[in-house]
Amino acid sequence: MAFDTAKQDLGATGSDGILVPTAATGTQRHASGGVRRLLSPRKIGAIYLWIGIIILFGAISPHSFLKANTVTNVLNEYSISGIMALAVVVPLASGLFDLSVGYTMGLSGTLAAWLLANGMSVPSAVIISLIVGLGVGLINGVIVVIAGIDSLIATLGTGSIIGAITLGVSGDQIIAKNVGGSFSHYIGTLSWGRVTIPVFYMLILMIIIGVVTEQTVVGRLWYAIGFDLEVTRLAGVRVKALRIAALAISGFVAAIAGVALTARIGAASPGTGPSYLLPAFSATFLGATQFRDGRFNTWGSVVATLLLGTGEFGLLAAGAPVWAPDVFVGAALIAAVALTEVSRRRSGAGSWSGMPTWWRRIFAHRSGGSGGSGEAEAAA
Amino acid sequence: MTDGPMAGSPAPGVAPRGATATVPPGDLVAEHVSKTFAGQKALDQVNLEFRAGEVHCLLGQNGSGKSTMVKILSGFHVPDPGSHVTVGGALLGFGDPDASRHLGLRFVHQQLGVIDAMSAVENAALGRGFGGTRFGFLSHREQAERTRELLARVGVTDLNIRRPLREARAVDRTAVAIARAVDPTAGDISFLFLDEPTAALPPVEVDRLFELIAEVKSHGTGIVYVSHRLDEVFRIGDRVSVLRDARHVGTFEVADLDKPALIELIVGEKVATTTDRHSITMASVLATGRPDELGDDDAGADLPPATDGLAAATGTDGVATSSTGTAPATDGQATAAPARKEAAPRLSVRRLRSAQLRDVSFDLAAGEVLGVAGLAGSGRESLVYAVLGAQRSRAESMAVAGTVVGKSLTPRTGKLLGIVLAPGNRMAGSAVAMFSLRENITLPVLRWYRRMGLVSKRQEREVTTGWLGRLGVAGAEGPDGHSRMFPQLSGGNQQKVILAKAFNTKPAVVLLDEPTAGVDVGAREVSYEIIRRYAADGVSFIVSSSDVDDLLAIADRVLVMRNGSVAEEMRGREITEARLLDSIMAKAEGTGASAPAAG
Repeated sequence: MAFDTAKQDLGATGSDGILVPTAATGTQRHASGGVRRLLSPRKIGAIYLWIGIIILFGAISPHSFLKANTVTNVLNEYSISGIMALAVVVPLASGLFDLSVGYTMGLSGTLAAWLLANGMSVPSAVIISLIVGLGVGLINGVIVVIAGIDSLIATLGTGSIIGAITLGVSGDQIIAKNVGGSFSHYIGTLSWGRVTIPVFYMLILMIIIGVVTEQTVVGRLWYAIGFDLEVTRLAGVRVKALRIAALAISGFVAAIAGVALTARIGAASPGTGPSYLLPAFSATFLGATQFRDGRFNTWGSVVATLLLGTGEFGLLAAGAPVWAPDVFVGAALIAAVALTEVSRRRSGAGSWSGMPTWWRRIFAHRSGGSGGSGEAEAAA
Repeated sequence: MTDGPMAGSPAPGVAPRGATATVPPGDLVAEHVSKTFAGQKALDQVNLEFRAGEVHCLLGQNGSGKSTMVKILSGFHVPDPGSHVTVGGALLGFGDPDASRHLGLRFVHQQLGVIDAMSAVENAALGRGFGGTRFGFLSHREQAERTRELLARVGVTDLNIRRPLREARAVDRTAVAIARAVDPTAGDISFLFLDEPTAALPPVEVDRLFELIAEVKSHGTGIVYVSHRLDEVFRIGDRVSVLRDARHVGTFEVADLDKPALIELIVGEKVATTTDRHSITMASVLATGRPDELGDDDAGADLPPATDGLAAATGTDGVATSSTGTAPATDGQATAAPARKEAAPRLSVRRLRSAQLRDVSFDLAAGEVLGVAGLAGSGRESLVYAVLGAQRSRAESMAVAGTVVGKSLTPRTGKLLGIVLAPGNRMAGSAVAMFSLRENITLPVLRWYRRMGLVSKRQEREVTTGWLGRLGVAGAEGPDGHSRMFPQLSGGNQQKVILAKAFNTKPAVVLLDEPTAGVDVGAREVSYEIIRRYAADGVSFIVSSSDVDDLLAIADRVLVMRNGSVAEEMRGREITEARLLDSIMAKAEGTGASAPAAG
């Protein structure tokens, strides 16, 4: 590799290489330390919490909870939630909030049902619904990136509009006509063992998005943008295109969730999407404390979704009142993030890798922007 | 006039309103104040005496210790044991902003601490809040009255106190900050410290500020005035204290001095530094050898030559034709380079304009280090950003290696043309704090390390480990050094990583902004040496710095900015500390319409 200096190509006459590439010895890893680090509660606290939950509810209600089909029930029940959690991973990694995902999910699910009810073939209905989701994401991207409107506000606005469109398309009716048959069977309820097909959607998306975000150039740049937009921009990266792409992806993945939900239920209700929004964010924030030191990641999102699902399921199996699961989700999110942060601070790992830092950065960024314009004015 | 500290000149009443006489009016006396940062003396046995009711200018170069002194007095830093400060005879407790405040010390920093989106009323109320009614509600009328009174105390009567401050003149924002600081109801005031208050002010508004300072002084408050602009010292200063290299050079009556004498006091004997610029050795970098293959063989195949884009641009007319990731290493282009280098400057900028710049033109030769000097607000701090289009800018033309590439660049086209920007570690945009060193160094050219669509972390590690070793980045040794997070390094080592990030793109031109801010002396020399060696190998640099030492150490040529244009150009032996400082601090005369005075 010729990364010493530019001299060969600039034709500079100096022939002495000024920098010696040292022998690269950095490839060996310390396996034992690696494993210990990998299993440390700080990295995978949610896994331990998950095991704890299973033991707890196993002890409380051994008959209704400790059954073989509990596993498949939780998987099947929370696969759509898992897909939604995956939908917000990419925008959050890029420092963008997409609050419209719930509505996009509702729109695509309702649209698929409406198209089927109006006689469209299954493949066409599915493809159009997914493309509409992608389109919504692109519009979000253009509004946020080109018009420069804060993502939190822009997607709050588009979400409201999308919700209204969904209501209009459905006529505020539950659409079930033609939804039941082969659409529902092949897209939503086909199963291997007792595991239905949406679980596979979730796992496949987890792997694809996980690999893209963590192993590819585009993924690295998304994180770079999310952590420091200015550095990334100055590095000559196409930040606008990447940010638009991040929101387009969330729209597309939310559409998958919407279509899968409609197929699973065999009907579309225009109001279902938004209820998936907050659990998705909760799971992804909780997931970001896992595995990857504060980075939003797909593995964490799915594990957190299933962890929260297990808890909810266990509470209901134990005969807890219907409001109890919501309390559990909220408390688990706060507790997990707080525990991670405390253990980091104790261990002196520094403030660079924690959710609060992440928030601070976002707000610092915002206020920094206004200060900059003031300066420019002063100097003008 | 160097009588004992306690004698203190009989000061006028300090706080005419609401005075509770908790502060005996009197002088501020600092004795044997020292401060050591990581073994480095920032202040060394400094003795200063500020008198009540005078305007006392505190001068010195960057790093001379004046800001450390101010920060000690404001309770931000705790000085070394043995330091002793009294205000009006009362002992100052260190490290406690409240103690400083209690003794009547007030500080207005360069950033002012006013919120531009808020009105003068709201800003004035920020400090402690006033005008609460019996029930705890805010009384708008009372607030407005109080704000008018406060502003009237500093002689400002024409400001619309209801409108957001961003609509006001720069000097009015300063006025609000000062009025708030000297609010007499917030306790007695003995001294007001102003840190470069004119740095962001246009010349016409400076007069207004001086009237305001006179007004504050007339209330009996002592003013400690920190500035780089010498002519201001002669306009408003009563006495002046000079710090140099952490020591107190002396305190003088302004009337007894003239400008050359003052410059000599500030600069001292250090002018000689330019002569030894090539004598410094750096062990880690000078351990030379052939730059060989690093890592596996086919790793290099995908890496384009440094000036891939540059060569392409000269061959055709295109920025767009070159793709950093895929262009083959073409020997023909590379060998053609020397001839072209002689023919055309590496970078040629004509009449570059931006919000801060007016018609800046310059050429940059291959291997040249071009320094950019100037006060804050002169355009110096935005030049390198404007060149790369990181700030909105437009030139009559921009040419790279003799080929016009358009009216402006962007960071992206710049990268393709081999022009990279590397803001110093204290600046925004330098590095991603939440990325490891590996992720930072490879960020601009991440595509080069792609294998079958995925980023090869092994290659990244090898490249990064190589850079960390070659540049001797302390705190990132060993095989896991590449995984250190950027903020875990010291300032000097962060700077090396930033340079590594820039050089790793194989640049033809590197734009540096404040490359040594927050970097200690030793690490500074290492940075200089790295830059010099790369320049000797043909990389061109533009170095913008507020620290003249940087420019003295590495610049072949210096552009001195004033009023958004190039006011003076110096090259080679003309670049001396005294001349440079004199030129930088020269009053930004008139409109700057006069032609740049060639050095």
